[in-house]
Amino acid sequence: MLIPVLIGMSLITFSIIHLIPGNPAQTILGEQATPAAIEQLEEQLGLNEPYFVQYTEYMAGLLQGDLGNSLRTNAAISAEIWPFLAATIELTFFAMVFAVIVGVNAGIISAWKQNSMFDYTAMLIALIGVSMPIFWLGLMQQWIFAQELGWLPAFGRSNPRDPVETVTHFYLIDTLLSGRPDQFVTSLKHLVLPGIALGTIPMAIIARMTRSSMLEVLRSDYIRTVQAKGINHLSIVYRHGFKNAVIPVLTVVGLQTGTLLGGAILTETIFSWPGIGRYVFEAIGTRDYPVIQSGILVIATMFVFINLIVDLLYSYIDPRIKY
Amino acid sequence: MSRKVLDVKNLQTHFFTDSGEIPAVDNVSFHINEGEVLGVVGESGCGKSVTSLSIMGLVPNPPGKIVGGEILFEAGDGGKMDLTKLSGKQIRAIRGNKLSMIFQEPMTSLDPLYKIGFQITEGLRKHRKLTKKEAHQKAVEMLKIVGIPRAEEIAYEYPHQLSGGMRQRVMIAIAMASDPEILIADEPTTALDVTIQAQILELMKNLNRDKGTAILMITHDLGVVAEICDRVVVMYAGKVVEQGDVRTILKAPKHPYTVGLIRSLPKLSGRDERLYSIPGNVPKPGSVQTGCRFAARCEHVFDRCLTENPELLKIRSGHDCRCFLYDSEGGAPHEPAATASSQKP
Repeated sequence: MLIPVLIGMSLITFSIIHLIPGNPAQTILGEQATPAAIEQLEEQLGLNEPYFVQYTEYMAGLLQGDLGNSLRTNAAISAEIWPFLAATIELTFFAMVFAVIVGVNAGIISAWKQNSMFDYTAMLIALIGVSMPIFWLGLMQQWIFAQELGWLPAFGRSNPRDPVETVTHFYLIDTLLSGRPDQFVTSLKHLVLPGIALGTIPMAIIARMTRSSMLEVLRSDYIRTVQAKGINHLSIVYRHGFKNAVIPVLTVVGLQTGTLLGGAILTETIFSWPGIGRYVFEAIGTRDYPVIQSGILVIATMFVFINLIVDLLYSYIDPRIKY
Repeated sequence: MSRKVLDVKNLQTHFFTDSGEIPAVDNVSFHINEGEVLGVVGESGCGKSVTSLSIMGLVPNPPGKIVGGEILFEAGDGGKMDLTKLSGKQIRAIRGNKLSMIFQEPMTSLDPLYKIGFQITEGLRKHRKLTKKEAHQKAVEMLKIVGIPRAEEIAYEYPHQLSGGMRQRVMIAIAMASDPEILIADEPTTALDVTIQAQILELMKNLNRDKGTAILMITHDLGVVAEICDRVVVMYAGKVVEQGDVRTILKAPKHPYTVGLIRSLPKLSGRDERLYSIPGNVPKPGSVQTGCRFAARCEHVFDRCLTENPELLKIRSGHDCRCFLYDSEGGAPHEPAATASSQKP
């Protein structure tokens, strides 16, 4: 499943980016460049070859683990992309941890206390959460928590005057590796606002999905059996209730994680987060074909991979599901 | 007289719905003696399941609530308590321990995500603090008692790997694992094949005999009653209409409803006759305010039935009936059992 999806993906991206008007050689050399210079650069970059040849060469490189070189910086994309990818993964992880913890528990309690004040409030917040434009939420957060209250930083991943010594490019890990707990706290603080802004929609979707799934499960016969055994509420709700309700929730978590990993351009732009979304977005601006191509491929691979993990988790949780 | 393990007195369980308060169980009283099998019989919607859920404290709330009456439970150690007065924690200590229940739907009554062995001893682990190893041994022992082959392996299997009959055996194993004083069985054989039904009833009969567990058998099937019960309570529209020992009820029923129920059983006489059915439907609970609730369907109805509520009358020791036909000292003027048999359809 994985391979055909990725091949199809690469074909579609390749076709689309070559359909966009614009010329990378022109962009690199500027408006004033002579046609001869542009032609020479095109030849140098291999852009004058037929599309078919360009695609086959690109795919041949991929098979050897070569994502190609950026037209703009001439650096290997496989090396260049990692810091951006790491930034996105870190942000996504934080956002999803927030979304899952808050969303799942809110959904469970709402279902357990159906039609209570908590239920109504939580579902109202969830409704607002899914409907609110993310850029507006981000700006409001920056205004309240960074501008007015000054509690949290609004931009970037760390203090630019005190750069983090990078090894893995996950700042939470790197700061600990270099023995700088103060920087760890700073990095964590930088994650809070974009993480919450990014996690709000998944949180709301997860809360609603958990609630409806739980409501169905809590009405089932086996829950009554467990009640008849004299088991306490907490164990009924989490061990038997949530475990049975988790499959649709897990599906949503997988899809949302994949989507966030694809780079939330809006959030990354508002919070100046140097993530993969912005990396690819800038490459589109300069018609940096290999970067667009490989960036999207990496995103798609992660998306497929996350959903593969989710599928494997299904069969781990539910003995009736076998592959 | 033997000890009453359970004494239900004037139980009232009402449901509060948008269309008003519905008395699903309306002043129901009965008792179960030690080691006895009591059948509660009635059509769908007569309140028998709600009665059993009330005893377990499992009436879904909202909308249901026990609004009156007592459920006195006397454990073997002499402690006597009113189950309706217990806190959630107190009743959880009794549920699945001294008081167990099996349900109608074996296919959906087991949690699909947990192994059989775990589910059998889940309650016990909580009530008796068993170790993992003890729990497993107990699970295997229970599976053997309920007659499941390959007990060692089945304990490690999941519910979807078992058939309906096997699952009901597992349900019985779950219920019996704690050696309860009372086992409440809510139509345990309804969803099963006839041959499996017989096996399950046999199993319950044996458990009752060997362990002395009192059983409250909720059923609409008089065949099940004849097979297993010592005494019978007949319920109609949330009220007890007749109770007595099983021979009396089946051979010489007094209440016109019980008479109708028994007449509607198919006979193996081989004659090609139309099956009798009681005309009309069970009234919606709470819809009949005055008069006998069965009046609209009764072939012996007279004026008094429509204006007064009949009391549960003692016909003789251990046989009660809620019908005005028997409301005169020294023999009834009308003899419904005789009339019923003379009115062959």
